[in-house]
Amino acid sequence: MIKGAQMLSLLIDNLELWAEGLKNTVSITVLGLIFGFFLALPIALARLSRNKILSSLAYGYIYLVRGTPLLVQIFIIYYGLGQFNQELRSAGLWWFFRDAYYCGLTAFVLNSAAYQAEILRGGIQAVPTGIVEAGKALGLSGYQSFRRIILPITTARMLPAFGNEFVGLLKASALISIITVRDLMGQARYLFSETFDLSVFYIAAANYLLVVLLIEAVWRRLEGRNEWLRYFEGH
Amino acid sequence: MAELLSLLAYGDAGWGDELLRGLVVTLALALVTAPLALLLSFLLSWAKLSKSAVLRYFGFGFTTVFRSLPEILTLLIIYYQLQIAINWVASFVFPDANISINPFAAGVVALTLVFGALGSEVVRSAYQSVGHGQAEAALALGMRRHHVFFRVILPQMWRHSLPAFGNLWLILLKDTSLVSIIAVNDLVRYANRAIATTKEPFFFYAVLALIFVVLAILSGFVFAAFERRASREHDKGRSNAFIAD
Repeated sequence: MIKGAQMLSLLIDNLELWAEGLKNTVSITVLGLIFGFFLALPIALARLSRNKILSSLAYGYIYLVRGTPLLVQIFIIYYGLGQFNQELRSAGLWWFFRDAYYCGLTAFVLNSAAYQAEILRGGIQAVPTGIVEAGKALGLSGYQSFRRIILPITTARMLPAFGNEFVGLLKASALISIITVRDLMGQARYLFSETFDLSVFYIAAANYLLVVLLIEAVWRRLEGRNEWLRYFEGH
Repeated sequence: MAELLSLLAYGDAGWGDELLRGLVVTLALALVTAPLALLLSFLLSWAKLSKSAVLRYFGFGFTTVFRSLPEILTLLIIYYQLQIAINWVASFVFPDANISINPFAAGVVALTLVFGALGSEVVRSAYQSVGHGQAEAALALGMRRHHVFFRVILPQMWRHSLPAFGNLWLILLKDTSLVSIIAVNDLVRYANRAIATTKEPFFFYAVLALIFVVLAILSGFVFAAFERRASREHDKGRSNAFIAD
C-alpha cells in the first residue's frame, strides 16, 4: 500500500516531467516513422529495380542496417560524427549534429527506412498479376488501376507490418535516453538518479504499455476494414 | 588508415584482444539466453493453449507486457529489482546481507523473459500450423501422448518455426548490445573504453557494426543449413509422392 502511494506521488509530483517525456517519445517515434516512410519508398523501388547495381546497393543498405544494433547506429551518428565537428561546422550542419534529439531522429529515420523498404517491397510484390490484368481487360487506365486495385490491396497487405514497425520503433525510441534525450525512459532514469526509487521505472513501463496497447487497438480497427482481403488469400 | 587499423592490433598496443574478449561475452550472452528463452517460450505457449483460463490469461498477459516494453527498460527493472528481491530473501538468513547481482546474469534473465515472450508466439503458431488431424491420427494408431508430441508434432513444428527462430536469433544478437548499459563487459563496452582512450568513436563504432554484420551473415549460413536439414524428409516425401503419380 505504501509502495502504491509512493508511486502515485512520484507520478503526480513530476507530472510535467512525465508529460514532456511522453511528448518526446511519441514525437520522435511518429517523425521517425513518417520520414522513414518517405526514405523507404526510393529504397524499395531501387530494391525492385531491374538495374543490378541499384538493387544490390539497396539490398546492401537494408542488410547493413538490419544486421547492426540500433544502439551502435545511434552511437555512430551522435559520437562518431561528432568527431568531424570541424568539417560539420564549416558545412553549417553542426547545429543539427550537435543536438542529441536530431541525431537520434536521424538514426531512427535511417533505421526505420530499411525495415519499411522491406515491407513495401513485400506489399508491391504481393499484388496478384491476374487482378491487374482483369482491370486492364475492363478498360481501366493506368492511374485507375493503381488507385482502385493496386493501392488498396498493397495498403491492406502492408498494414499489419506497419503496425509492428510502429510498435517496434516506439520501443526502440527508449534508446535515445542513452544519448541524454529526455524521453519517457530518459525521465525515468533522471528521476531514478534523484530518488533511487525503482517505482519510476514501473511508471515508465505503464506509459509504454498504454501507448502500445493504444496503437494496437487503433490498428485492429484499421485492419478490420480490410477483412474482405482474406478472400484473395484463400483463408 | 593504417594508423587506425593498428588500433586493432592484438596485444598491449591495440584493442584487438579487448574487442575479442568482448565478442566472447556477447556471444556467450546470446548462446546462454537462447536455450533458456526457447524453454520459456514452450512453457508460455503451453499456457496459452491450455484449457485453464487462468493459465491462458497469464500466458497472454506475460507476452503482452514483455513484447510492449522497451528491452532496455526491462533490463534495468530486472537488474535493480532482482537485486532488491535477492537481498530481501537473504535478509531472513543474514540480517545485514548486501548481495550485488552479477550484471551478466541479470542480462540473461531479462533477455530470456523478452525472447521467451516473443518465441512463445512462434511456437504457438507452429503448433497450430501442424494441425489437430495429425495428433488424432497418431493417437488412433495407439501412440502414447508424449510420443505423439515428441515424434509427430515436434519435428514438424521445428520445420515451421525455424525461419521465425532465425529472425529472433538475429534480434537477440543485436539486443545483447544493451547489456553494456548495466556494465557487462561486452563488445560495445570494450569499444566505449577504446574510444575513451583513443578518441576515435567513428572508427570503433564502424568496426562494431562490421562485427555484427559478419555475425548476422554467419548466422544466416547456419540457419540455412538447419532449414535444409529440417525440410529434408519433407521434400523427400514430396518427391516420392510425385514419382508415385
